[in-house]
Amino acid sequence: MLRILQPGNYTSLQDLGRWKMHTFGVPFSGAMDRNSAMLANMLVNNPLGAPLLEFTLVGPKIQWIKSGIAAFAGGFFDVQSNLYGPVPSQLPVRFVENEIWTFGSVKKGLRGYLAVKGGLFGTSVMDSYSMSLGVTEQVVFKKNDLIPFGPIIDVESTTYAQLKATPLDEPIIFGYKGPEWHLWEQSGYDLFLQEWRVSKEHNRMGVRLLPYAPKHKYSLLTAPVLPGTVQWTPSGQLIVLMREGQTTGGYPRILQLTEASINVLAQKNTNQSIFILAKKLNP
Amino acid sequence: MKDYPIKIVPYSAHALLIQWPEEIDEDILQDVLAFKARLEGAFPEALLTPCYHSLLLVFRNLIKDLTGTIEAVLAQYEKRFFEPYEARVFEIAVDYQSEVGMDLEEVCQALNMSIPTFIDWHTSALYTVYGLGFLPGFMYLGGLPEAIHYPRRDRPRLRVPAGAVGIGGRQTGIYPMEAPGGWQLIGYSDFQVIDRNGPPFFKVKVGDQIRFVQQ
Repeated sequence: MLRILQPGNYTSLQDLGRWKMHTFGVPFSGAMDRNSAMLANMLVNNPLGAPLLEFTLVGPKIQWIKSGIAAFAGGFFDVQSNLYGPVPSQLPVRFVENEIWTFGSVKKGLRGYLAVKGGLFGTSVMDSYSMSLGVTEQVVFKKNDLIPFGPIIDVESTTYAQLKATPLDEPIIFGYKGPEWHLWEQSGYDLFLQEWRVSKEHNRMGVRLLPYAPKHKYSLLTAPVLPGTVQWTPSGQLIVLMREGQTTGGYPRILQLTEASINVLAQKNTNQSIFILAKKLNP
Repeated sequence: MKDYPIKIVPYSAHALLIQWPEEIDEDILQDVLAFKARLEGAFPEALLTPCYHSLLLVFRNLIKDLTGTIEAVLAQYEKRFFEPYEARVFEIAVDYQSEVGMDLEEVCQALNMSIPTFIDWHTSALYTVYGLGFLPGFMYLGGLPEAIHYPRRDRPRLRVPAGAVGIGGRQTGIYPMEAPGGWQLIGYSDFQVIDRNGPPFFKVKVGDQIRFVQQ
């Protein structure tokens, strides 16, 4: 069990999400940077989809109530233990009863993931522990919340994978051309030459990019979308749907980011630059 | 049974998008659902999301052979059975007097219609669920009588309360939870679309039908 002494920013329990509920309009949810979440789990020998803590920009201050082993990955946080000083990232670390870890503000990247051997325990709703607005009662942790440890047995036990850390300096995002790419092409605007910036409007639902692209008047019949779908809104702004994004939309879908690029984008903070490159789906 | 000129395009490394002609049409929806039923049998592990004229097919694993997979999916289209989806009809009680329906008077005035006449129109139709999206369990309902079509608000509200029944253009629906939204609010319903007791967790499926009754 651990106690949240200070919740940090948007600290929630996440696993790999509830993908099959998309049919009913339920966002996939799950860790924004799935790669880092799986890496943290791998380091403590958990199933890769075990529930863990995700935090954004500012990490929590936690007190370990029971001893155990933990690992964190994702964005760089300067984690300090009140007993042993700096805590190394991307390594399994033993903690003892009543030890306190302070994550502080992110130094690089945006989101951190803290996995505990055995998994963290929460409420499973629709076959997932991921906290999600409108689906689970609790959406973020608050001060003094207690989070029990697993063992988590009902998660998908994905086999060990060769996982590398999500590259936090990577400026390039890859996308496949989307179903309405032909509409975008008519605008004559070269998406691939533009330096894009992450606007201050970015969260688990979506990332809005700057600058604005040309306006348009296309209105489509509502159709399915996925995390990583790049929507071109009538105002010209591009919105990249993320893990908590809605499941249907009526804006032109001009690109679909690769899974790896969704993870890269999940680690980008306000004003960071990205470049978009087209990727071909192999026939 | 009519064969439509469906289009299958890659959507991501895991997903294919199947598209019918872009129309709100009961026959197209029936064909989407017939194909969905067939694909559920052929690819039991896959996720299938229907919506109006689209069907998204997401595989758990990477699509290794794109051409082969598209051909395999297309072959299933030939084999679909045409048994119309047996729609369940849900009667949903609406309180048109509720203060949640804060736009009802304004809409009726603009439509030059009395409130009872409006309610008669809204409760007279049998609506079809063309899609679920925007929010968990939010139903895109088709079949709103033309007499009560009414445009969305110019400025969306930041908070529409849970249970609000709204009208947006030629669509009507219920907000299953508090959310920002631009529809005109005409009533309140306590219908719970989410069923937390167990799978499938939602009472309504795409293809089902809704009738509103005055509470």
